[in-house]
Amino acid sequence: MRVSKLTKRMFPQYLLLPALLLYFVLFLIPNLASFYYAFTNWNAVGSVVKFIGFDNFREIFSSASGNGGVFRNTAVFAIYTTVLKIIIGLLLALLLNEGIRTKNILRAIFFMPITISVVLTGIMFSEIYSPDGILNGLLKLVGLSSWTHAWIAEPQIAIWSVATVEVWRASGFAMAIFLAALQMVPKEIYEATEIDGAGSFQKLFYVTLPYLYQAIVLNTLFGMISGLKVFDLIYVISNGGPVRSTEVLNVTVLNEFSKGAYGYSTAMGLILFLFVTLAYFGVNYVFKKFEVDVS
Amino acid sequence: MSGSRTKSRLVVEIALWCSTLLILIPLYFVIVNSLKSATEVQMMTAKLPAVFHFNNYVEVLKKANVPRAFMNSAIFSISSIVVCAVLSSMASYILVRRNTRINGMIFNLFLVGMIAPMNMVTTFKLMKTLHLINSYYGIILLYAASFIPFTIFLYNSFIRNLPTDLDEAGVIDGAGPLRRYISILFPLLKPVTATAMVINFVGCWNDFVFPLYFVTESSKWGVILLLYQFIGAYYSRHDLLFAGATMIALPTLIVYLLGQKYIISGMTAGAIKG
Repeated sequence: MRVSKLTKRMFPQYLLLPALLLYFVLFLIPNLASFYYAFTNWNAVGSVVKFIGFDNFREIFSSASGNGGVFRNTAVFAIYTTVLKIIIGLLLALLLNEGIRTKNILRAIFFMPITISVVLTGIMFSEIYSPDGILNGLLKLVGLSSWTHAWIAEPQIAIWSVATVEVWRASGFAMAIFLAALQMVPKEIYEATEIDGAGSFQKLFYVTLPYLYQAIVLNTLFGMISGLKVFDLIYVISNGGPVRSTEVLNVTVLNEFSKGAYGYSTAMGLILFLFVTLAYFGVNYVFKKFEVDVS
Repeated sequence: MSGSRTKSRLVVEIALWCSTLLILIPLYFVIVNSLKSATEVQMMTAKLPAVFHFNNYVEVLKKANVPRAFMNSAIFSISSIVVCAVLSSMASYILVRRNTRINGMIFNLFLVGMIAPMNMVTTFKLMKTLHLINSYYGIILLYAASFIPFTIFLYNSFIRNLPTDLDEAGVIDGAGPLRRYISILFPLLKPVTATAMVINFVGCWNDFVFPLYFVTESSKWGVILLLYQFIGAYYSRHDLLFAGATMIALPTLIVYLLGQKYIISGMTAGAIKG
């Protein structure tokens, strides 16, 4: 768009510069640099950084590295948490939309976990999940002793246990997005459908859910992006263990970084970047195809 | 008809209150166990302590430099949210009002920062080259840089809905751009500034990743790294671990309770409009 001389004088570009400069130097430059360093042998020992082509990526994807589980864990974490957050968030939002007297307090409580430090959340759930913790205690109390587990220590279930903590933490956020979208459903539509004699379920499927389409897209995007990027929750609760059974991409990035394998670690970070980008465009593409138009 | 509806609503309300226990019990568990004796805490029950051991808190305060960590967290959080709010609102002002092709591209560039993960290794190298590891300035600027995309996003959707008449009145009165920004625009942005600040404050205060990579001196750790260190240090003293955790979590909970209106609406409104 062309703008007039007056606009240019009124809104000079230099007010934009400080933010752009800070963002450019501290965010864009290092992330752009990662596209180069991912293809080098950069490490803590050698002093010369040499271009080595795709060697880091070949090593990452080689079966000897045992990284297959890392990709699987990251995918499991992202997809499982996204689906559950949407289901629970939607349910809470529909129930809390109106008619409940204490809805404001309830909303605040359900939203609260995401504002608690992940380190504290990790400490709490390490206790809850421990073999003699309150989860197993509760199961024994109701006569389900056979269901008890060492929730974090058993490699087969550990990633699911940790991912469930993320569901606990962020379902309230999904709820808040759905609630905001529910405020945009015109009241008259409900009245009209009531006159037409629609039942509650018909109202939900044909009136409410189409209006929530955008919120579902948003929650899927947020869920997938934050799920792929997850780090601190897993680092605090299990640190990727036992035997790498809960290790996700960002944990590998830190581990390799600590070992001094900087180039390798950067390559891993770049793969994460590609996954996030892919997820972003993939989710947008899929939802575009099935778009529901309510306007 | 209306009678059965009120009744079913009451059932829903009770069910919802029951499910809040899933959130409240873990918190209660930490607080109640922070007040038990070292032997009693090993039972790991949700029972009230036989005797309230407020002494646990005193002991943690004596052993760890908690006030110092609070001080560090406050320095990081408050400075970075102020820097971020000032720079972002100025930038948004131009991005919205001077709607050129280039500015559209710049806005998209900022949006990338909301989605793309940060590459920690190359960021570490940059911080090291600039001598910003273990530097208050460095960490504050890095936080500000990482909050700028979301904050600009929030400001943009707000400024778009502000009338331009005031700007024009300011020009007629002969006020320069910076002057207009300070005395006309910024005061109008109070609600969205409050939202941005509260959200970024919580994000910064709770952040665990930046100090892990970029702060190696324990004297510059904020509360979250201190809390993380407690896990190892009080491995066999869960009473102290929980006391430390409660002490560190309480201020954030208070901020949340006071500012939850801003947090919930800000975190979601920005998302919905965009």
